[in-house]
Amino acid sequence: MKSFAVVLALALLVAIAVGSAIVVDTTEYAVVTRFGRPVRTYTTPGLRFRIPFVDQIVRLDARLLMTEPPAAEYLTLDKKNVVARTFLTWRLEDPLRYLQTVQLRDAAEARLAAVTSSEIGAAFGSVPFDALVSTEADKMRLGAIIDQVEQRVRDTAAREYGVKLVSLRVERLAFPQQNEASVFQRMRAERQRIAKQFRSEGEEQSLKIRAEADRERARILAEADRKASEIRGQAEAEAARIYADALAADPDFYRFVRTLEAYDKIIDKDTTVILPADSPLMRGLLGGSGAGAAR
Amino acid sequence: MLALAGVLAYLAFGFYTVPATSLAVTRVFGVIVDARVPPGVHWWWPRPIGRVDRAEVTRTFTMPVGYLAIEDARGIRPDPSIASWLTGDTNILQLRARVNYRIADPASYLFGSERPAEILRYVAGSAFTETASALPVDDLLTSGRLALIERVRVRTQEVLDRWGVGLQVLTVNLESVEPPSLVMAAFQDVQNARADRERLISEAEAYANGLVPVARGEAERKANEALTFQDQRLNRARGDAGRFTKLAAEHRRAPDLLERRLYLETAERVLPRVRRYVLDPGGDGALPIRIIE
Repeated sequence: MKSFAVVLALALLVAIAVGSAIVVDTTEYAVVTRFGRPVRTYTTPGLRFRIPFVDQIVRLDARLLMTEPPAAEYLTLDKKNVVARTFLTWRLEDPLRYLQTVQLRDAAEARLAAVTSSEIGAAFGSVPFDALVSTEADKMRLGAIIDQVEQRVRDTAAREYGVKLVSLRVERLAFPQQNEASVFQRMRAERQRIAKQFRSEGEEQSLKIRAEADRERARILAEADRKASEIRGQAEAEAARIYADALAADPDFYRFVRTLEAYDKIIDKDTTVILPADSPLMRGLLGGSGAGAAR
Repeated sequence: MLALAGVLAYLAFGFYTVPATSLAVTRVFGVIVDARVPPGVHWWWPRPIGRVDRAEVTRTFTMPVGYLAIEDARGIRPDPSIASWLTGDTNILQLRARVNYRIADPASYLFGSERPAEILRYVAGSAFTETASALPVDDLLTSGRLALIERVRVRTQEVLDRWGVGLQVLTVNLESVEPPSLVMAAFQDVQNARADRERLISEAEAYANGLVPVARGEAERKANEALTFQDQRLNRARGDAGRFTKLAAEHRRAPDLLERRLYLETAERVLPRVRRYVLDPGGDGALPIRIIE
């Protein structure tokens, strides 16, 4: 009977010990509420205690959480529609405020999404489309715009919901579905223009290369002709000098020899030769007196 | 006695193994005690006091970007909202990439965030968006691809580190970047046009390469001809000059004799060719022979 009482007392002690001990995991925060009123918040992990059966524990996720609001359509300053899909990462910072304002994860995400959507709407509505999408570095401000939105949402989230917004980023930008056909039409037209440009560039380059080659050829040949003429000219001059040097010794005799050579060349079978009877040749043949002259 | 057996039985549950591919994280009452328990057999407090979690640190995981692994396996084309990106010059491109990553820090991976892999997917997607919306479509289709994936890798890693997600991006593989199927033909025609341009240019170059060397050869030939002419002309001149010099020396010795001989020799050579002769008894022309026609 006595030992039964001891066992009972021990069991009761163990039950109280187990009931009063709470483990706060590294992934969570714990808020102790007494009759529905929060009395203590544990934001670091470890073994904690409570008054059993009186204190209730509310556990909240302490990890980095991600929320992906559905993609939404926005209007830029220059009245262009753009679809943006965002995502937010956040963690609980002030568990008490969180419990007081949103209580449930779904509610928190819905409110963050709503704030994000309205802030992006305001931010996109005050910039032209090419501030979001542009190849020109001085126009492109997507990063800065999102940073601004992030900061505003961060302020609101911390103030209103006890949530620390870690980041807000744009996961995707797109055109609305109904604009797609016209975008494709524009892309096609642009490609046709580029293709045409490539082809005419090819033509142009080709003509240029051919013309240059033709010109180069003409230049090379003309220069060759010039050089050849020079060489021939020099040769003629040199030859003339050689002749002149040699002939200067006896110009009269040269004239005589050259005349004979000319006869050799000029006279052919169709030539009529008139020989004077008293020519040295004839004299020898006809009169005999010329024989002396011929010798 | 019974209590002791109970305690021993409880403690015996504490033995656990860590596979060679993994590291384990041990906790006691929710507090991380050892964040990197190496592979092997170990003992740790069993629940509810302690907990052991393992993470495969040597494995390379893959996260698809631009499509969903499940849909892809079934051959379903991904929805444009997943597959399409806007380029800086407001074209639409469809992009498929795989981010290969591994668990770098088991404790951060296990306890730091709710959905680490999904976070990675969204961060990589936003890195693609930020990069692509500043680049022209032609860059993204050609030369900009390396820069794109490098930027995405660096940016993704930077963000993951800053948020303590515990993942390390190993590589980003760009599987494909292509225009939407409806405008594919127009893009291919640009490729064809570019090829046409190259073809036209190389044809023209071939023409030029055929023409100019031939012209050079021709120039060389002309130069050689001129040099040959020079050679011949000079040699003839020298020959003639030499001959004349010798003849003139002869002439100095016996002028009349030589002149007569030369005259007669020429007459011998020339006159037999001629068919018609006319004798002019009263000829008194300046030249000994008068030529008609």
